[in-house]
Amino acid sequence: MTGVIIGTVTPTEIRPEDLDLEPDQSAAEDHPWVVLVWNDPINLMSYVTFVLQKLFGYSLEKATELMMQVHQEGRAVVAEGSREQAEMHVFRLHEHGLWATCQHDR
Amino acid sequence: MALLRPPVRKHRSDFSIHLSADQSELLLRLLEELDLMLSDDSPENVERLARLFPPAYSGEPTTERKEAEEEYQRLMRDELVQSRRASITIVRDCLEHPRHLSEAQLTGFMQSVNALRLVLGTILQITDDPEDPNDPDASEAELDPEDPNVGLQMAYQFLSWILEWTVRALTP
Repeated sequence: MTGVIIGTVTPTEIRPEDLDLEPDQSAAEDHPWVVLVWNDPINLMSYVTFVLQKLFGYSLEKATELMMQVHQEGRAVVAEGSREQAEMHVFRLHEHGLWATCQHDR
Repeated sequence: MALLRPPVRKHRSDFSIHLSADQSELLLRLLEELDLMLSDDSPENVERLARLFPPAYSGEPTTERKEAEEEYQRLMRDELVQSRRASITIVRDCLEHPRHLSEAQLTGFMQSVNALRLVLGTILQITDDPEDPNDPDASEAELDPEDPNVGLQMAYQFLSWILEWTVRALTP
Protein backbone atom coordinates (compact mmCIF):
# COMPACT_ATOMS: atom_id res chain seq x y z
CA MET A 1 0.00 0.00 0.00
CA THR A 2 1.33 3.43 -0.83
CA GLY A 3 0.40 6.90 0.48
CA VAL A 4 1.55 10.11 2.20
CA ILE A 5 1.58 10.50 5.97
CA ILE A 6 0.10 13.91 6.79
CA GLY A 7 -0.30 13.63 10.53
CA THR A 8 -1.09 11.46 13.49
CA VAL A 9 -4.64 10.85 14.64
CA THR A 10 -5.34 9.76 18.19
CA PRO A 11 -8.32 7.43 18.42
CA THR A 12 -11.19 8.86 20.49
CA GLU A 13 -13.77 6.62 22.08
CA ILE A 14 -17.31 7.53 21.05
CA ARG A 15 -20.10 6.29 23.28
CA PRO A 16 -23.53 5.55 21.77
CA GLU A 17 -25.16 8.11 24.09
CA ASP A 18 -22.90 10.81 22.63
CA LEU A 19 -24.45 10.33 19.22
CA ASP A 20 -27.61 12.28 18.48
CA LEU A 21 -29.15 9.56 16.34
CA GLU A 22 -32.72 8.39 16.03
CA PRO A 23 -33.29 4.68 15.56
CA ASP A 24 -33.62 3.77 11.89
CA GLN A 25 -37.39 3.61 11.67
CA SER A 26 -37.46 2.37 8.09
CA ALA A 27 -35.24 -0.59 8.94
CA ALA A 28 -37.31 -1.41 12.02
CA GLU A 29 -40.53 -1.37 10.00
CA ASP A 30 -39.04 -3.36 7.15
CA HIS A 31 -37.95 -6.36 9.18
CA PRO A 32 -39.00 -9.04 9.65
CA TRP A 33 -41.56 -10.18 7.13
CA VAL A 34 -42.62 -13.79 7.03
CA VAL A 35 -43.41 -15.97 4.03
CA LEU A 36 -46.31 -18.37 4.53
CA VAL A 37 -47.28 -21.41 2.49
CA TRP A 38 -50.95 -22.33 2.82
CA ASN A 39 -52.57 -25.72 2.55
CA ASP A 40 -54.27 -26.44 -0.73
CA PRO A 41 -56.05 -29.60 -1.83
CA ILE A 42 -54.41 -29.93 -5.22
CA ASN A 43 -50.64 -29.78 -4.90
CA LEU A 44 -48.97 -33.13 -4.28
CA MET A 45 -47.23 -33.47 -0.92
CA SER A 46 -44.08 -34.72 -2.63
CA TYR A 47 -44.16 -31.71 -4.93
CA VAL A 48 -44.48 -29.19 -2.08
CA THR A 49 -41.60 -30.87 -0.24
CA PHE A 50 -39.44 -30.75 -3.35
CA VAL A 51 -40.18 -27.07 -4.02
CA LEU A 52 -39.30 -26.11 -0.44
CA GLN A 53 -35.99 -27.97 -0.80
CA LYS A 54 -35.25 -26.39 -4.14
CA LEU A 55 -36.11 -22.77 -3.33
CA PHE A 56 -34.84 -22.56 0.24
CA GLY A 57 -32.15 -25.24 0.35
CA TYR A 58 -33.87 -27.12 3.17
CA SER A 59 -32.90 -30.71 3.91
CA LEU A 60 -35.45 -33.38 3.02
CA GLU A 61 -36.28 -33.74 6.74
CA LYS A 62 -36.87 -30.00 7.26
CA ALA A 63 -38.86 -29.61 4.03
CA THR A 64 -41.00 -32.62 4.94
CA GLU A 65 -41.62 -31.18 8.42
CA LEU A 66 -42.75 -27.86 6.93
CA MET A 67 -44.92 -29.60 4.33
CA MET A 68 -46.61 -31.63 7.08
CA GLN A 69 -47.17 -28.45 9.10
CA VAL A 70 -48.84 -26.90 6.06
CA HIS A 71 -50.96 -30.01 5.57
CA GLN A 72 -52.02 -30.45 9.21
CA GLU A 73 -52.15 -26.88 10.53
CA GLY A 74 -53.17 -25.12 7.34
CA ARG A 75 -50.03 -23.04 6.95
CA ALA A 76 -46.34 -22.76 7.81
CA VAL A 77 -43.73 -20.03 7.84
CA VAL A 78 -41.11 -21.10 5.33
CA ALA A 79 -38.88 -18.01 5.28
CA GLU A 80 -38.46 -14.54 6.73
CA GLY A 81 -36.56 -11.39 5.90
CA SER A 82 -37.08 -7.91 4.52
CA ARG A 83 -40.25 -7.08 2.60
CA GLU A 84 -38.38 -7.22 -0.72
CA GLN A 85 -36.94 -10.63 0.11
CA ALA A 86 -40.33 -11.94 1.24
CA GLU A 87 -42.04 -10.69 -1.91
CA MET A 88 -39.41 -12.32 -4.10
CA HIS A 89 -39.83 -15.62 -2.25
CA VAL A 90 -43.60 -15.36 -2.77
CA PHE A 91 -43.09 -14.77 -6.49
CA ARG A 92 -40.84 -17.83 -6.80
CA LEU A 93 -43.38 -19.93 -4.88
CA HIS A 94 -46.18 -18.65 -7.13
CA GLU A 95 -44.06 -19.56 -10.17
CA HIS A 96 -44.04 -23.11 -8.81
CA GLY A 97 -47.79 -23.07 -8.16
CA LEU A 98 -47.73 -22.97 -4.37
CA TRP A 99 -50.25 -20.87 -2.50
CA ALA A 100 -47.93 -18.45 -0.70
CA THR A 101 -48.27 -15.03 0.87
CA CYS A 102 -46.12 -12.68 2.90
CA GLN A 103 -47.03 -10.53 5.85
CA HIS A 104 -45.41 -8.28 8.41
CA ASP A 105 -44.57 -10.31 11.51
CA ARG A 106 -45.84 -7.79 14.08
CA MET B 1 -48.86 -51.26 -19.80
CA ALA B 2 -47.34 -47.88 -20.68
CA LEU B 3 -48.47 -46.26 -17.43
CA LEU B 4 -46.29 -48.66 -15.43
CA ARG B 5 -43.07 -47.42 -17.01
CA PRO B 6 -41.55 -44.27 -15.47
CA PRO B 7 -42.34 -41.39 -17.84
CA VAL B 8 -39.36 -39.38 -16.58
CA ARG B 9 -35.94 -40.91 -16.12
CA LYS B 10 -32.77 -39.58 -14.57
CA HIS B 11 -29.43 -40.26 -16.23
CA ARG B 12 -25.92 -39.42 -15.10
CA SER B 13 -26.14 -35.70 -15.93
CA ASP B 14 -29.52 -35.16 -17.56
CA PHE B 15 -33.07 -36.47 -17.88
CA SER B 16 -35.36 -37.98 -20.50
CA ILE B 17 -39.12 -38.09 -20.97
CA HIS B 18 -40.85 -41.23 -22.20
CA LEU B 19 -44.45 -40.77 -23.24
CA SER B 20 -46.42 -42.57 -25.93
CA ALA B 21 -47.55 -40.60 -28.96
CA ASP B 22 -51.08 -40.39 -27.51
CA GLN B 23 -49.81 -39.21 -24.14
CA SER B 24 -47.60 -36.56 -25.76
CA GLU B 25 -50.50 -35.38 -27.87
CA LEU B 26 -52.76 -35.10 -24.84
CA LEU B 27 -50.16 -33.09 -22.94
CA LEU B 28 -49.58 -30.79 -25.92
CA ARG B 29 -53.33 -30.19 -26.30
CA LEU B 30 -53.70 -29.37 -22.61
CA LEU B 31 -50.77 -26.96 -22.81
CA GLU B 32 -52.24 -25.29 -25.86
CA GLU B 33 -55.46 -24.75 -23.90
CA LEU B 34 -53.52 -23.31 -20.99
CA ASP B 35 -51.59 -20.98 -23.28
CA LEU B 36 -54.88 -19.65 -24.67
CA MET B 37 -56.36 -19.31 -21.20
CA LEU B 38 -53.42 -17.14 -20.11
CA SER B 39 -54.63 -14.50 -22.60
CA ASP B 40 -58.33 -14.74 -21.71
CA ASP B 41 -59.56 -12.15 -19.20
CA SER B 42 -63.19 -13.36 -19.06
CA PRO B 43 -64.53 -13.74 -15.47
CA GLU B 44 -65.06 -17.49 -15.93
CA ASN B 45 -61.48 -17.96 -17.06
CA VAL B 46 -60.04 -15.75 -14.33
CA GLU B 47 -61.79 -18.02 -11.81
CA ARG B 48 -60.31 -21.14 -13.42
CA LEU B 49 -56.81 -19.68 -13.28
CA ALA B 50 -57.17 -18.38 -9.72
CA ARG B 51 -54.66 -20.89 -8.31
CA LEU B 52 -52.02 -19.76 -10.80
CA PHE B 53 -52.27 -16.14 -9.62
CA PRO B 54 -52.97 -16.20 -5.89
CA PRO B 55 -52.82 -13.12 -3.65
CA ALA B 56 -49.36 -12.25 -2.39
CA TYR B 57 -50.19 -10.53 0.90
CA SER B 58 -52.00 -11.82 3.98
CA GLY B 59 -52.59 -10.46 7.47
CA GLU B 60 -54.73 -7.61 8.70
CA PRO B 61 -56.88 -6.10 5.91
CA THR B 62 -55.33 -2.63 6.03
CA THR B 63 -55.12 0.00 3.30
CA GLU B 64 -51.36 -0.60 3.21
CA ARG B 65 -51.89 -4.30 2.51
CA LYS B 66 -54.47 -3.56 -0.21
CA GLU B 67 -52.06 -1.17 -1.93
CA ALA B 68 -49.18 -3.64 -1.65
CA GLU B 69 -51.37 -6.37 -3.19
CA GLU B 70 -52.41 -4.14 -6.08
CA GLU B 71 -48.80 -3.19 -6.71
CA TYR B 72 -47.68 -6.84 -6.65
CA GLN B 73 -50.40 -7.90 -9.08
CA ARG B 74 -49.64 -4.94 -11.35
CA LEU B 75 -45.90 -5.62 -11.45
CA MET B 76 -45.65 -9.39 -11.11
CA ARG B 77 -48.68 -10.86 -12.89
CA ASP B 78 -47.15 -10.29 -16.31
CA GLU B 79 -43.88 -11.79 -15.04
CA LEU B 80 -45.78 -14.88 -13.92
CA VAL B 81 -47.55 -15.16 -17.28
CA GLN B 82 -44.23 -14.87 -19.11
CA SER B 83 -42.65 -17.45 -16.84
CA ARG B 84 -45.52 -19.89 -17.50
CA ARG B 85 -45.32 -19.31 -21.24
CA ALA B 86 -41.56 -19.95 -21.18
CA SER B 87 -42.17 -23.26 -19.39
CA ILE B 88 -44.88 -24.22 -21.89
CA THR B 89 -42.46 -23.53 -24.74
CA ILE B 90 -39.89 -25.84 -23.14
CA VAL B 91 -42.40 -28.68 -22.86
CA ARG B 92 -43.67 -28.24 -26.41
CA ASP B 93 -40.13 -28.26 -27.73
CA CYS B 94 -39.17 -31.33 -25.72
CA LEU B 95 -42.24 -33.29 -26.80
CA GLU B 96 -42.07 -32.30 -30.45
CA HIS B 97 -38.30 -32.90 -30.65
CA PRO B 98 -37.55 -35.60 -28.06
CA ARG B 99 -34.10 -35.31 -26.54
CA HIS B 100 -32.39 -35.32 -23.18
CA LEU B 101 -33.25 -32.42 -20.86
CA SER B 102 -31.16 -30.39 -18.46
CA GLU B 103 -32.30 -29.95 -14.87
CA ALA B 104 -33.55 -26.42 -15.70
CA GLN B 105 -35.58 -27.74 -18.64
CA LEU B 106 -37.09 -30.54 -16.59
CA THR B 107 -37.95 -27.98 -13.90
CA GLY B 108 -39.83 -25.96 -16.54
CA PHE B 109 -41.59 -29.17 -17.62
CA MET B 110 -42.55 -29.84 -13.98
CA GLN B 111 -43.92 -26.31 -13.50
CA SER B 112 -46.11 -26.63 -16.59
CA VAL B 113 -47.48 -30.02 -15.59
CA ASN B 114 -48.23 -28.67 -12.12
CA ALA B 115 -49.93 -25.57 -13.57
CA LEU B 116 -52.20 -27.82 -15.63
CA ARG B 117 -53.03 -29.88 -12.51
CA LEU B 118 -53.92 -26.71 -10.62
CA VAL B 119 -56.30 -25.56 -13.35
CA LEU B 120 -57.94 -28.99 -13.74
CA GLY B 121 -58.15 -29.37 -9.96
CA THR B 122 -59.89 -25.99 -9.74
CA ILE B 123 -62.37 -26.92 -12.48
CA LEU B 124 -63.03 -30.29 -10.81
CA GLN B 125 -63.44 -28.53 -7.43
CA ILE B 126 -61.02 -30.86 -5.68
CA THR B 127 -61.20 -30.59 -1.88
CA ASP B 128 -58.91 -31.77 0.91
CA ASP B 129 -61.18 -34.69 1.74
CA PRO B 130 -59.22 -37.95 1.21
CA GLU B 131 -62.44 -39.52 -0.02
CA ASP B 132 -63.53 -36.57 -2.17
CA PRO B 133 -65.57 -38.11 -5.00
CA ASN B 134 -64.36 -35.32 -7.32
CA ASP B 135 -60.70 -36.13 -6.67
CA PRO B 136 -59.45 -38.79 -9.08
CA ASP B 137 -56.37 -39.24 -6.84
CA ALA B 138 -58.44 -39.85 -3.68
CA SER B 139 -58.13 -43.25 -2.05
CA GLU B 140 -61.76 -44.17 -2.66
CA ALA B 141 -62.04 -42.60 -6.09
CA GLU B 142 -63.51 -44.64 -8.88
CA LEU B 143 -64.00 -43.05 -12.25
CA ASP B 144 -67.58 -43.14 -13.42
CA PRO B 145 -67.79 -43.45 -17.21
CA GLU B 146 -71.17 -41.67 -17.11
CA ASP B 147 -69.72 -38.65 -15.27
CA PRO B 148 -69.47 -35.69 -17.69
CA ASN B 149 -66.13 -34.82 -16.04
CA VAL B 150 -64.60 -38.25 -16.54
CA GLY B 151 -62.30 -36.97 -19.31
CA LEU B 152 -60.97 -34.19 -17.08
CA GLN B 153 -60.58 -36.64 -14.21
CA MET B 154 -58.51 -38.99 -16.35
CA ALA B 155 -56.37 -36.08 -17.53
CA TYR B 156 -55.87 -35.04 -13.89
CA GLN B 157 -54.75 -38.57 -12.96
CA PHE B 158 -52.42 -38.61 -15.94
CA LEU B 159 -50.82 -35.31 -14.84
CA SER B 160 -50.49 -36.57 -11.26
CA TRP B 161 -48.62 -39.61 -12.55
CA ILE B 162 -46.20 -37.53 -14.66
CA LEU B 163 -45.64 -35.00 -11.88
CA GLU B 164 -44.89 -37.64 -9.26
CA TRP B 165 -42.22 -39.21 -11.46
CA THR B 166 -40.79 -35.81 -12.40
CA VAL B 167 -40.37 -34.91 -8.73
CA ARG B 168 -38.71 -38.29 -8.10
CA ALA B 169 -36.28 -37.71 -10.96
CA LEU B 170 -35.38 -34.20 -9.77
CA THR B 171 -35.05 -35.05 -6.08
CA PRO B 172 -31.34 -35.39 -5.18
